[in-house]
Amino acid sequence: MAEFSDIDFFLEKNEITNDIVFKTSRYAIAQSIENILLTKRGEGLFNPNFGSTLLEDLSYPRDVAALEALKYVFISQIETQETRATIDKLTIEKLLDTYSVTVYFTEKFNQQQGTVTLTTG
Amino acid sequence: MNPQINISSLDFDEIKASLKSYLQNSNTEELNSYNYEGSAINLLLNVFSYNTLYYAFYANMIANEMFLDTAQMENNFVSLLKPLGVLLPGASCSVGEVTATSPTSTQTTITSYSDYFIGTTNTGSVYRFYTIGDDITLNTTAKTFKVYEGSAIAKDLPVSVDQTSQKAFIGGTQIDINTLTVKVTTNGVTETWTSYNNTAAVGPDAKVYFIDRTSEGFYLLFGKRSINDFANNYGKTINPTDIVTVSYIITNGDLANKTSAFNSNAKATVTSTKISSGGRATPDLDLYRYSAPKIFAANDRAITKDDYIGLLFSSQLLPASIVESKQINVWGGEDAEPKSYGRVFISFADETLTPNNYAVKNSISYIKKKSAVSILPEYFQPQIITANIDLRITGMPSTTNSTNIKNTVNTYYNNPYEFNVTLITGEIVNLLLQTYPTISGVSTNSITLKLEVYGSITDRNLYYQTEILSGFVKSDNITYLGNTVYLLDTPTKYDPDTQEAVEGNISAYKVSDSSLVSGVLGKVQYKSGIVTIYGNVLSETVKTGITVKPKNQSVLVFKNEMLLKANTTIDGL
Repeated sequence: MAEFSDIDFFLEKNEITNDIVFKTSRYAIAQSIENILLTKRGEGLFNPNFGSTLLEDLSYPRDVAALEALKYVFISQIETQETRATIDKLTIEKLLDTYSVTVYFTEKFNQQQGTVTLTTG
Repeated sequence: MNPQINISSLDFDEIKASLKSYLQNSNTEELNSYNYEGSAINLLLNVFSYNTLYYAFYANMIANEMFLDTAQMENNFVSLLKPLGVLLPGASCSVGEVTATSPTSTQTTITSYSDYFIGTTNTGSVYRFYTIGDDITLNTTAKTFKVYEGSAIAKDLPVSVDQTSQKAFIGGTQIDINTLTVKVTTNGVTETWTSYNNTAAVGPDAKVYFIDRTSEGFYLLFGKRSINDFANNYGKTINPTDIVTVSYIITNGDLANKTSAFNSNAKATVTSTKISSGGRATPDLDLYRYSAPKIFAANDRAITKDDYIGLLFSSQLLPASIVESKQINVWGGEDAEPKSYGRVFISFADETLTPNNYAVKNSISYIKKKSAVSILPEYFQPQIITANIDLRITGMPSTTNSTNIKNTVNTYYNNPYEFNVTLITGEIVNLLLQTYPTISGVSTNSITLKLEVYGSITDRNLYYQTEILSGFVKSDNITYLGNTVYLLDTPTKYDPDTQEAVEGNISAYKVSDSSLVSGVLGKVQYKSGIVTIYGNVLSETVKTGITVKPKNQSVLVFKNEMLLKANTTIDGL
């Protein structure tokens, strides 16, 4: 397999090919990680184990120790469901009322690195 | 070549796997992330699979709901039964039986839909039970009647009849529509009208009404036009000045089942009762699935065995303990022993029901009207025949409880006692070997059959319905001529070809020393399995068991009035 490819979540149009936009390699994986993190467990009707507990766990203020522990929880949840990448690091930054989560990963096949950043709330 | 799609899947995961398989085989290098749950294409596959599942289920459901055999939704069931001429009730009352007398020497009247008996269920819950139809007059002679559980009562409730459509609506499906009484007052004269029955005469003056079921309640329809003759109506129409009133019972359904204790009240002293049953919050769709086509096929006439069963169930006259079709057995006189042509015999699987039971009488009287000319239906009290099955078990580990083994066989046959059972020893062996894998071998030592009868001044015949062996016809101990004796057979006549016993005599022997007390007290016909005990031999007050050994020890068929009861023993235990 040369590289992983996936369609874009927003189904945007590629103006040159007139096809929908495709995402490949680390961009496809980044999109997948974002999908996993932003899906609440139980949301998928026929796949209730899919998703993460991120939105629930970060829905109220947490102290530093708790955030540190949650990092490992989220890393484990991503790695179980996204087997194409290894998670190098996951940071959680407290903003005013929300949290910013950044995932640093390395694609297993091409060894390319990528990041995903998302904000709760 | 285009990849094939599996379109027979009806499960979400199978549909999704089928779509994935399509993408896998479609020779495209693009969109290869479908195996990863987080990918967008996987999400899209989820949506497609869900949509496919939805429509597959929908199509399946539509197909199922179109047929009586598979319909599940009550509304559709109502529609499917309509062309068969069968009305699906809503809830059904739990029905018990009460035998009561007047509490005083003067006559009392139990007003239907008004006076009630308080009954207590086996769990201690208390319910009210009412009578329906005409009021019941009680005096010092005991009278038996049915009582219907009701949480609420409508008595002589006026309903409004739409003059154009000739329809009146009664709201609520918790009404037991079989308890409905409709009265019409015309010019000050009140009469009870009857539900349309296609054997009744119809015409513009027939005082009948039709019932139509909806999801919200019931419509009463009056004076409907005839298809063949538009000049006439099916039934009399309701005029604007007529007053229509209805009485019915709203029930708690199955909650009031198993009510056995009914209290006396100021108008009735309860002398005995029969446990209530048949209450349902929703109709028994399976029962209607079974009986409705038979009622339709029979056109309200009893010709075949199924006609009898279907009509008896639709009559609502059955004894309270008879709630399932397998509890009724019907057979023709040509299959009876002795043969009785021109008769149809009916048995209910409740050995306490005698031909004199009032519900039995009513049921038989009803079915007589539906029977073909020259056919006479007759109730035959069921008889329990006990099959004593003696088993030999080898390799039984000490941890296996022999009582459990006996119970396994007994429960298999006795829960409850049934008609038309075939006892096959191979079936018992397989049952035990499957239930107790640690047992290495099971075989039947012997099977004997026991009938219990009361004596009488006339001869008493016992029909075992199978060939029996000589020397094994033996009674329980009885008292005869002041001695404690048992009865035993002695063959007297043999088949010249096979030398097998054909006829024999029954004699009495003392229990103490087996000496002969009396010569011939009965006879045996071994081939036909008939044992005759002469009059004044057996007790008329206590049942005496007469045990025989059937010649066929591997397959025994019990038909007609016989209800099989298995009694298992294990050799050496």
